[in-house]
Amino acid sequence: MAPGWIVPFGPLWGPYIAQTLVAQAGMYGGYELRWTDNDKLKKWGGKVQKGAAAGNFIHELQEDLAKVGCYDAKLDGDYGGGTRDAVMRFQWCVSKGTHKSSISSSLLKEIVNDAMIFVTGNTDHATARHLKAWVKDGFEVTGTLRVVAFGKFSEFRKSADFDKLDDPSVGDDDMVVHKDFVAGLAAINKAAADAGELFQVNQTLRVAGAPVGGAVVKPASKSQHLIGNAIDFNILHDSKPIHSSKMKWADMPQKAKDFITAVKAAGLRWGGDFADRDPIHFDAFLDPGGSDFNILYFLNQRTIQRRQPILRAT
Amino acid sequence: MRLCRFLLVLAVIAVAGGAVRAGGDDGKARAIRDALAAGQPVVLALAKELPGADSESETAADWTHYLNEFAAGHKRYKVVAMDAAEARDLLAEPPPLDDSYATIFVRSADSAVIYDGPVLEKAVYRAAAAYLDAPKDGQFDADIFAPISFRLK
Repeated sequence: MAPGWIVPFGPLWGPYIAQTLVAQAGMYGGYELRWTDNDKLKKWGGKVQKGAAAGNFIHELQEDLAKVGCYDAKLDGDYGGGTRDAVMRFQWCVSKGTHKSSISSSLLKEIVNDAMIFVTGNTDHATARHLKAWVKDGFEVTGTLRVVAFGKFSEFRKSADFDKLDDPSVGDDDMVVHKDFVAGLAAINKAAADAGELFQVNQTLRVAGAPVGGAVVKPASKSQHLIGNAIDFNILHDSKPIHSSKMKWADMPQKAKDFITAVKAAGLRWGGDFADRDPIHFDAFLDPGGSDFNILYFLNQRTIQRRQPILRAT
Repeated sequence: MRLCRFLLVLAVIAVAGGAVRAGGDDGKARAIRDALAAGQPVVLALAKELPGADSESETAADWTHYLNEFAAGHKRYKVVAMDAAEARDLLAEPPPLDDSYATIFVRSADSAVIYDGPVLEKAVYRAAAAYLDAPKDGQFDADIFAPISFRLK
């Protein structure tokens, strides 16, 4: 039964608002939880709640974040950096709308407006409602990876050294990249076709960490490959690969130069321009110090670790 | 008096640091000597500075990735990574590292080749493996490698 004061909103909105408020009150104690909140200290909503009964609201939040796949640290009731990052990941997923095609929750459909979610790391009421709905419906985050068939690009050739990604969604003749990088692949294909060169792919997405058997040097954690935003290649000139040591601008065939120039014009970075040259590398740079990179790193590497389904690029 | 004590402490720390460093280098030198004495080929991956995990260099990330993959897949070789300072301490004729990276493939004490620059593709390591696995008088791919005289200090 809706409280009487909601009546002015009319029969259409009144019940929804009432439902929202009732549901909200039961979510994490009704508090807008935030960084430095702590169950043991009874600090919720940014303030120590003197006289309040004990509660496990942050613990509950952490449990829910873990259920949707955004949190993999200890459930300790402390809203530290790990919890804040997890909330940001969740908010990022919701605000990007990556879930819309599979939404079924009536709560989400009817009450919550996606535009209300901002990536702040604080668990505002809109975030709490979304999170509870995801948990209720059994949703998990899946990242932004896409499977792309080599056959989709006429000028692409798979290198004999290309390693297929170990995931049930990925076939022998598939690459995996971040969804926004699919447009980059199309630009590379067009540049290759226009220049009359073939493009041999050595690697796209890279699994983080050391290979089985250990590492000689510390594996990178900030590479564009780790989020699916980069590609290693050789240009096939007259059917022969131009290896990296021969990719010096002055020595390169004109057609290869035309190809590189066109790819750069399409907005991708060429590793041949780096201070320490990497001339068989293109990427669509995303600041590795930024939150978008960190979120993509977590989500996309998790997709691989969990062998989650990866959508095929259309 | 206090100043003297402070300087003494600093000196002890410096000597200890040097000892640790020398110990590390000595360990690598011994490992290289032992491997060659046992007939095990050695791969020396050299970088001006060994990149940390948080390096934002894509070149470093690619170099690191392909090196680790190669080492993990070729346990029959002794693979050792070192920075320029270690290389100067260990090698009688360290390469200049003009391109920040170089890799020396040592088939035996009197047969070695160098790849000048970062190895950024498996094809180079495949060619290197062919060289390392070949008999003593086996050839190397001169398009990719250059001969080098390898000697520890």
